[in-house]
Amino acid sequence: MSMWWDEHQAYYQEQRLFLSQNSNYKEKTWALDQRLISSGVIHVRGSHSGTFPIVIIYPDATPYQGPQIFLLEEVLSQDEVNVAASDPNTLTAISIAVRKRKIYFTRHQNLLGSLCILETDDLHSEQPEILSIDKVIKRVMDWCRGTLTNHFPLDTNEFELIQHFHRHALGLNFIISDAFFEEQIIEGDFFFEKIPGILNESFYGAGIIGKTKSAVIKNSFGHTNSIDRRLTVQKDNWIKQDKTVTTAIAEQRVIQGKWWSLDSEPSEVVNKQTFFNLFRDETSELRESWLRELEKPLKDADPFFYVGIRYPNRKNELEWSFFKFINLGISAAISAGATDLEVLKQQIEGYELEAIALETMTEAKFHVRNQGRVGHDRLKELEVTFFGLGALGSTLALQFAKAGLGRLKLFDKDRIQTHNLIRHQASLKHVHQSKPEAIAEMIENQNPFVSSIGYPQHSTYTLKPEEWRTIVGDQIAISSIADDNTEGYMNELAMLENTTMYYVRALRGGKAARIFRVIPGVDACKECLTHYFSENHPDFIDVPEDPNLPIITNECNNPIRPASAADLELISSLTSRLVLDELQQTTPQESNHWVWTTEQVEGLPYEASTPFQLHQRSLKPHPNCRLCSGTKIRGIRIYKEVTDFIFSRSLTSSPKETGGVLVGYMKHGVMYIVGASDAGPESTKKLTLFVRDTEYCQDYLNRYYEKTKGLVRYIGEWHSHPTQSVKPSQTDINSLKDIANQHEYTVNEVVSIIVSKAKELGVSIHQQDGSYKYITLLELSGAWKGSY
Amino acid sequence: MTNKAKEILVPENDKTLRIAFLYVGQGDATLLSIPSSQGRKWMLIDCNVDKKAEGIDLALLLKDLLDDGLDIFVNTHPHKDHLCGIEQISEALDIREVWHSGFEPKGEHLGTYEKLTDLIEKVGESNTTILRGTRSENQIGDITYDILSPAEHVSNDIMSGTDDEVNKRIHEHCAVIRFKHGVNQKQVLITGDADWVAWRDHITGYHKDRLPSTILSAVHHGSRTFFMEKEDDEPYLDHLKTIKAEQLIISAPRQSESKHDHPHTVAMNLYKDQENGGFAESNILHLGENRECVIVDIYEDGMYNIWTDTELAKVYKFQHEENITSQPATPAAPFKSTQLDRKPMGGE
Repeated sequence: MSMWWDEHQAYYQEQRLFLSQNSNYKEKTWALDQRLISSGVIHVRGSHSGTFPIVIIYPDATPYQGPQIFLLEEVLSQDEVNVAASDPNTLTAISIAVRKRKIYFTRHQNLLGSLCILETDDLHSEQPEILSIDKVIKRVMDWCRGTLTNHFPLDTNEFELIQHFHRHALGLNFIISDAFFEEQIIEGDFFFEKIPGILNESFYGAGIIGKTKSAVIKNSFGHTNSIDRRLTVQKDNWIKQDKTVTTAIAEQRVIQGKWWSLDSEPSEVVNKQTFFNLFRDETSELRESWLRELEKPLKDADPFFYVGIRYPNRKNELEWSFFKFINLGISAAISAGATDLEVLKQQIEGYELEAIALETMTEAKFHVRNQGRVGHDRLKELEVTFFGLGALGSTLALQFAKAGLGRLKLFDKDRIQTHNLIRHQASLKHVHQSKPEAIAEMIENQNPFVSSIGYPQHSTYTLKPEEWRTIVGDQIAISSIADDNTEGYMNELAMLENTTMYYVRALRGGKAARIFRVIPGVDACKECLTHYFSENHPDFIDVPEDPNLPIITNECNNPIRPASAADLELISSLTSRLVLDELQQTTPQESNHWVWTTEQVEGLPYEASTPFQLHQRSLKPHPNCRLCSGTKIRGIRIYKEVTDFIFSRSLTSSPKETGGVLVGYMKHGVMYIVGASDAGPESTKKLTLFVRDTEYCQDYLNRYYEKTKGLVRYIGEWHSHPTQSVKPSQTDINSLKDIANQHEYTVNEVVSIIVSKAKELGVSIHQQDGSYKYITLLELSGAWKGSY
Repeated sequence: MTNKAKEILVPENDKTLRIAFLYVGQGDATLLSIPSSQGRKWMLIDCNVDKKAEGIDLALLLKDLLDDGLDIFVNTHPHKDHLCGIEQISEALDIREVWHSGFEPKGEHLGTYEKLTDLIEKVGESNTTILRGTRSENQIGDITYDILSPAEHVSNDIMSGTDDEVNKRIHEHCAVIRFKHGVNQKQVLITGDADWVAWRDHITGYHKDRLPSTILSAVHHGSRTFFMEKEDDEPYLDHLKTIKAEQLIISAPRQSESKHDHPHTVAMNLYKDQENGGFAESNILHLGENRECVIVDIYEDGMYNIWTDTELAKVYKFQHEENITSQPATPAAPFKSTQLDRKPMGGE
């Protein structure tokens, strides 16, 4: 007698009571000895009604493991139940049940006859989730009703249609991707290829060719992931059926077969005959058109050939099943020429049919286990640059790849060395490979739907602003380089080019970490932090070094503290989570500085010294920061359409001056100029004087303001000079100073563009005190599309 | 966060009519969840409190179930086993409409009846309907219904005579309503306590075409009064043959717990007589037998399912003092936290 049962007899007594008092289940026989066994019938009542004999076996791990339910041909006799309950070995009870099992050839019934619909799935509870026997019976009843109505209660568990097929092709596995779900093609050929080194000898679906409902021939080949690009037999080879294909078939590297669409999921496909039932005509004979499609392999008496079916499953999603016909040696090749239908029928009878194990790997299904935490639709549109691919960076990059980020750009100048492996994601096979190449390869093998570019042996110092703009631009980058000089240089480039940066570094041998975000103009930049640090600012948590830890040197001969993978992977995971959350939000969170500690650090303020906590702070740009202080507009971008307009208007007006107002919006310290107005009919245009038509320009502003719900606003003025000079005149300076000071203009600093006779542009930003500074203008192609 | 009442009683499909025959011991309580384009309507037909037979505490259950209150309370007739607890329900949640037979009981039923009149006053006259039999079909939400009783012409002379005579006559004039749903229509016949005289004189003949039903709720908790006055009388069976139902639901406690011995053995035998419109034994669901609720789903296409639920009666039963010590063995699952109660110890 099991120990648990000894201790908890009341539990079984209660189960006994419940089993005997449930109108959905009529208990006929039962026994309580080493375990509880109950056999009876499930009653399904209503438009569809029936009785379903079952046996309920309580396993030794009751109640943590729920009861097993077997569907039976008939209720177990009292003798059978007595034997099943009295043997200390549960297998006896199961074998008695299996002897009388009834297979309904329906999903969720295992080969032994038991149901797998009784898993408990309340993830919210800390305590074991125990399904009450009432609920178990209700679920079994709903499943039994499903066998009558074909409407099963929806659940998350998949179960292959071919699970109950009598013969399975051993060692043969198919994997299909998005190409196989092209809905317009309804029947034709399918193509698989085995790729050495990945997917463990499985055959990967390259694509399908076939006809549509309107008899047009179409094809669908994969292009969404990197496996598609690794196939050696290409789409064109398959279409032309050229020598590459015949060679590959002969070498058994590829598989080609015929497939057909079905209108609905077949209820029973367990052997060759039930498979044939899918292709019979009104007189129950095999359809000639179907047999004719298999004429070639049948006439040649091929040792084997492959077929597939596609159908909408009970969730109304397209699903595939594949089969292999195997010549049993009875069918011999038939001479060329017309073949009688009866001969084909005889030929196919000489074959046995095996089901092929299949896995579907569409892009959506591949990412389904990230649902709710990382939205693939959003992530796949984004790209992130990773600077530093050490222990932290390699983990970060792989975590982002697993999150399904669209594109990763990978920077590190070093190669993998054996001493890296103890903490790195790379393994022995990557030794002496450049880190970006090694990680790119790992990403490709981890998530083939993600693309990555490695920039090997590329020191960050060699990046010029133009390159940074092209590679990183105003996207997002994460640096785990943890070198103040390199990160200082990156900070300059990022501030200039409006890149949102995250910096992460391990401190105190990985027992602590600092992560901070820099959105230019919004957050304290790396240089601001040095100001906060020197001021002992209370929001800058200064984590002291741990002098007791040894010091070693890294590849660059920099002194570093050792840390274990356990520490570093924690830090990477925290960083990934923070960044992934922000990537999925429309506005960044207020906190921009995070300190993590796994031990109580002496010298830290009390609230920041609690171990295993992420301490959050918000640090704004420092007023004395060289990069963040002064003008709030740190850069200006203008669309080409706007400069073209300015040039054309000044040309028309020349030699007289002309001008208008500028409209745009600010993002992270960068002003985007999206429009310039004309002067207006009531404007004054003279050789050395220009006055815009106020009413006309006001209308212009109002239209933008309303159309963009206030995003695009007044930002300054433009006008032409009939000379070569782009320097603001005293009149210009005075007017712009007034604009900056008048509340009505709602700006504290004003953008001025002056266009010279030689089509030169002078751009300056004017302050309330009358001061101004020139700023370089960066031109963006085309026109503003209205997206922000 | 959901609760047991919502989990079990709210249908998944917007177009499904769900009728739950709730276990309330010696009494009736039928809850309809009616599909409607303006959101589900919830209707409770009769209510009862039976702590001794461990019936459901309806106020507790309905409070869990209905965030927006109850649309309609229907009282088939003003006897206390069809009205008891209405005060608590009305306090627990908002009731917007009342349908009732319009009759006034006498004697022991008067106290509970006053709670109904209080409720009628609360919802207001414009939201109160007096039920009268008619041959024309009515509609509520996406479903239709026929009121078969009380007959229009019998309403005036009911109050004369002794208390017992009046109360018995109220059974003759109890509301009988047939609810219908689905393209391939299915019907559920709610009968209250309408006795055989009512069926013989007012219902069966007059409403012949409106009687056939898929599901029959047994009259008067399975009492013989559906068939006869006294046990030895010749049974009246025309109604059962006309109704021709597939499933029978009996709202009664176990016979041993019923002070009226409901369901009556003589009636049960007639219900099981398939040659006279009776039922297959597995299609007779007696709520009290296993302390269950019976749930019927009728789908838009007219298919229907019927099953029993044991959980509601366990979760929502009245917690009453005298029965605590005779509870079945406490579940000894090792993961439940200890819940101590007062246990005096020691003494000289």
